[in-house]
Amino acid sequence: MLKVRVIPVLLLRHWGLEKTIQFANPKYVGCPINAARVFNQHNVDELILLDIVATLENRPPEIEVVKQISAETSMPFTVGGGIRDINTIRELLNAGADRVVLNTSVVEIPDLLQKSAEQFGRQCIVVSIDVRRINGKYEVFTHGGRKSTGLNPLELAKRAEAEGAGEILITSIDRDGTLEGYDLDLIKMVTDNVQIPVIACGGAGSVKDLADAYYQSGVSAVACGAFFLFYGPRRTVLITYPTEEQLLEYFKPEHVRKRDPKKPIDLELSRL
Amino acid sequence: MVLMIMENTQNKKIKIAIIDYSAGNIHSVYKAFAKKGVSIEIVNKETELDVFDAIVLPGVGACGSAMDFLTKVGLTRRLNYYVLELKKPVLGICLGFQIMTEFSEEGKVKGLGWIPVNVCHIRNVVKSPIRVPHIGWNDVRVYREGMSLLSGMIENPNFYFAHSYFVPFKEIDGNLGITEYGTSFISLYQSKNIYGTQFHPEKSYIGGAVLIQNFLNEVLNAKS
Repeated sequence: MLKVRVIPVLLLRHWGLEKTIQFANPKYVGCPINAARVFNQHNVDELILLDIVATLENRPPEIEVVKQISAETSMPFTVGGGIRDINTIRELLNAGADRVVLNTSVVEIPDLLQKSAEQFGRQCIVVSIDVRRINGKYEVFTHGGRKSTGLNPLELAKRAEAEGAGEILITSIDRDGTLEGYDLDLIKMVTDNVQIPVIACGGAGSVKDLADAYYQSGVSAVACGAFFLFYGPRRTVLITYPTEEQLLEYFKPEHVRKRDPKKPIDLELSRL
Repeated sequence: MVLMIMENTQNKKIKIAIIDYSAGNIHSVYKAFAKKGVSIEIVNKETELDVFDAIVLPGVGACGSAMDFLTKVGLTRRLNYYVLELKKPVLGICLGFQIMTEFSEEGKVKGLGWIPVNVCHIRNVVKSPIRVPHIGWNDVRVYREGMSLLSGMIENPNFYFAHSYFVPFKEIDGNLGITEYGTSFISLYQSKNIYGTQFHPEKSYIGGAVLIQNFLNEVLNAKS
């Protein structure tokens, strides 16, 4: 049976790793390549890397960072931020990314999503939708949460599915970095209305939050940043990731990936 | 530990070709084999293949364009000779596995025809409401004993998948690995010198590294 994917999200600013609260007050956390290496040792299901200022600076993510992360890891990872053309997607995939994330460009460049899905296959293209609640109504924001679009997230999700998105990453800006749990209403609105997989993001602070999203909203994957980067009330930077046993407290056994760390080849892997 | 060092020394004797359909990322597959210490050549034009101990067909792009590419550069004929006449080992990964079949619905193209099955879109086979593409980690269950690619692993190991097309289960010769997603499909294939995986061993941590070493052990056996 297909397992739940528990995905750390790393926010990049060029070569730096940062974490925000409600998409604001970025705090420098460290080096993304080191972080990716540590997450690789934790045997994470997948990693998502998003350069949060790339769109504003009108550039793609740093290709060299992607190359180094690919060299340091043997897990699937997805890269996004400022992607506006097919060539950039090709460069990122060539650098070792498995999939790419489109966000602002889905709204601004009409045929990019369709063309990229045709070229690289649907499973390569994740569409990310950042949502804020304004006067009780959900609204899509682009440019790293800075620009209001007036779009309804469900409309955009359906359009993305029709144009070739392989997966939707739905993020609640209001919950980002708060550790208060996912916005299940928002997530469910999307999962109920698309047939492609959906990744929930924004607000997870415990394994229970992950399981609640998985079992109550029908997402295929649960992503989080702060929960895996900070430890304790003072938010000390410390990378953690739930063990198989910790997941099994809240998830059914058939939904938890069996990690296989006890093989002799382990030694070889740790040499990475 | 000692065993591993011996394995790695042995690997140095192996020379493999990774076929590049010019569709993009073969970086991960290259890296996974490079780590094993084998010597690797990227092949993207008509080349004498006999010198290689094994060939890897990686999993990037779409079936139609990959087959067009192989035919256009004259590699289809070379590959057929290598696999069917010389009977040397070949490993197809994801799309590379799919093009070894008879026919793919993706682009409606004839494959290399080495495995007597067809590739279908998941939605055309599974009528229950599942999400497509199939992305993530799933179990691989051995259908017939004697699957050397999985030797040394836990029972029903998990591997990483990312695909919209698959090979629905069909009773065929060879050792099969089966995965469930709305229905049973063939996720691992091993028959004589032909090996295929629907999942990505190069993205599946230790399990994937073990599988690749198991394949290299088969290559060494075939060589001696």
